[in-house]
This record gives sequence, structure tokens and C-alpha cells, in this order.
Amino acid sequence: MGDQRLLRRFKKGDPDAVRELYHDHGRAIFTVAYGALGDRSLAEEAVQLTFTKAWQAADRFDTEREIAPWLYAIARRAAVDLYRRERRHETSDLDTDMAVLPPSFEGMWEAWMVRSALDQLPDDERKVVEATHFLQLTMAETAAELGIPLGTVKSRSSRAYRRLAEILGYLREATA
Amino acid sequence: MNCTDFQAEFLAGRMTRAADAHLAGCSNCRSSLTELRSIRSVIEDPSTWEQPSQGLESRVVSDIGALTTTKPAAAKLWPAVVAIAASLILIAATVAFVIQARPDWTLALEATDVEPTAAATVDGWNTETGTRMRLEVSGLPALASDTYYEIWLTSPDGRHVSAGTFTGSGQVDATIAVRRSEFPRVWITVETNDDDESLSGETVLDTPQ
Repeated sequence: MGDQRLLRRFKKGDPDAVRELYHDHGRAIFTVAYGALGDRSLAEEAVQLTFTKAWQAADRFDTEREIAPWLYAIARRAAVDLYRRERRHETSDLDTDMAVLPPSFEGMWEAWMVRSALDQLPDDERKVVEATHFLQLTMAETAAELGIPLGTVKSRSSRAYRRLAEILGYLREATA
Repeated sequence: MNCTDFQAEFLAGRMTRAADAHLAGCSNCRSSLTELRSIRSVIEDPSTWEQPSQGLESRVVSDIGALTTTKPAAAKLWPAVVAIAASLILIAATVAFVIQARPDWTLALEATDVEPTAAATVDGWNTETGTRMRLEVSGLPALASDTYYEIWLTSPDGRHVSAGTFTGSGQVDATIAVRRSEFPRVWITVETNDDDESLSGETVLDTPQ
């Protein structure tokens, strides 16, 4: 019901609705596009294209469904279109097989779900996950980096990964 | 230790003796190990943590705003013209594909007094959803992290839409959901990373008068 109202406002061009949709899904769209295309500028273009296409298709959206898989499908299509456009620029061979996508296009849904799960973490917990997993800092280094006690880093880390395990539980069930 | 505890430990990369013992006795967690590894590799992948530029949100808002203000009015007033135009755009898109995406228009931007040695050429394609541009920019110095260059399109009645941002000379791609025929002026300003989404007015390159 909330999604239905949000999409109606989005279709009318309500800037707050566009921002809300961007806050909920923009990062995930960027993540999958960046992962697939490997280029920041193209990934941002894919985000813009995704929202434009979503706006054009909003009337046809089945409100019984969830927004995320619908937006994901549009985002993937946008990334594929941009990939093929860039390939056309790079090659003069019109017979190049455009149907074959590189391995970077695999696992996009999983990347979307993980990014969305990370976005659902409270800021303080996400920062700890980012520091320990992405920046590869130790717990002590993370404490120094974030200016918080070591015990706080440990408890936030513990809560964050437990939350991630719960949020991503159904993804594992779906693929088990 | 229950399954969620184990999965949290595994995702964190902390396999304790208790976690090992749980795994040995839990077929459910053993069957989800491949997927858990895959999730962990996504968390560790640098691309998962890449952030889009600050201006992207306002560009998306601007794109949708432009679509809602320009498209319905045109469709109401000139349905036949719009239908013909749509057909022409489709034909143009097909032709563009066949001839290796030759630009629909090209524009040379002029430097202002702010960066008098700057120059840029803009190749533009009219797309199904608006306009795609490729800029070749030279003579613009790399900016500090709190500032960036922003590409704007402006309509004859003074409406501005942001088409993208960049931080120095080179090739820049930008997509925007408006047609250049309706937003003919293309220009570039220097903006500061702050909460103010309006344009600064410090123009470095502009469409010749």
C-alpha cells in the first residue's frame, strides 16, 4: 500500500517521492551497475536511466508486487544497454556478439540484496562493517579510526552481522 | 549457538570453536555455506562500498521533474506531432546504431574569463528518454575534493537542469531526460559540495551566443 502511494507520487514527479525512492534503492542500483560496468560515470548514467525508465513504466507496475525486484530488472536492463552501447563505440565490427555479457553481470541480484541489507543497518553499525571488512582494519584499528572504545566496536560488529544474517536469511533459503 | 549466531559469525569472518561445532552438527548451515561465502565476498568487494557522487540524487530528481513538466504538455497540445516525432526518434535511433552511433549534434563550448584556456566539444545523441552527451574537456584544472564541475542545460524560459558532474579535464559522459531542442544552452559551472543545490553562477564554459 505504501509502495502504491509512493509510486503514484513518483509518477506525478513529486520531488519528495523521487528522493524517497532514490534513498531506498539508488545506492543498490549504483552498486549493481558499478559492479557490472566497472565505471563510475556509466554507473551513474545507469542510475539516471533506471529512474527515467521506471517513471515511464510506473503506470504498468503491478502494485501487488514489491518495488525492489521491479527496479532491479529495470536497472539490469539499463546496465546491459549501456554495456552494449559502449561496446559499439569500441568496435567497428557490426557482427560482434552483443548477446554475450561479461562475468561482471553475474550475481547482480545478490549484490543488490547485500547492498540493500547494508543500507538497512544503522549508520554506526554499517561504519564498523565497512571498516573491518572493506578497509580491512582490525577491531583495535577500527576503534581508533572511529574514535570509539574497542568494546563498542565489538558489540556493534556483533549486532551488525547478526542483523545482516537475519535480513539476508531468505536470500539463502531461496538459493539453498 | 543457533543458526543465526553461526551465520553472523561466518559473515564476520570469525569462525570460533563454537561455530565449528555448530556447523558440524547442522545440515541447514552446511547447505547454506556456498551462499554464505558468496554473500561474504560481496561484502568484501570494493564495488559494494563505492558511493555515487553527491550530485546524482539531484540529477535524478531533475530528470523526473523535467519529464513531468515537458512531456504531458507537449503530448496534450500536439499528439500527432509527438507521434511523428517519436517515430522519427526511433528511426534516428536505428540509423544511429547502424552508423556506429554518430552524434545527432555537436557543439563547441566557449571559455569564460574564469578559465580562459578551457575548451570543450559536446557530442549529443537524441535518445528515447532524452539526451546523451559525451564531452571532451581540456584546460580545466583538477578540483579539490569539496568542489566539482557541473554540466547544465537551460531552456529559453530560464529553467535549468543538471546533466552531471566531473572533477577535471578529459572525457565525460552525461545523460539527461530532456531534449536539447527544448534546453539548447549547455554550460558548465564550478560548484561546492554543500547542501545548496542551486547553481553557483561561476561559469567556466558556455554555449556561444
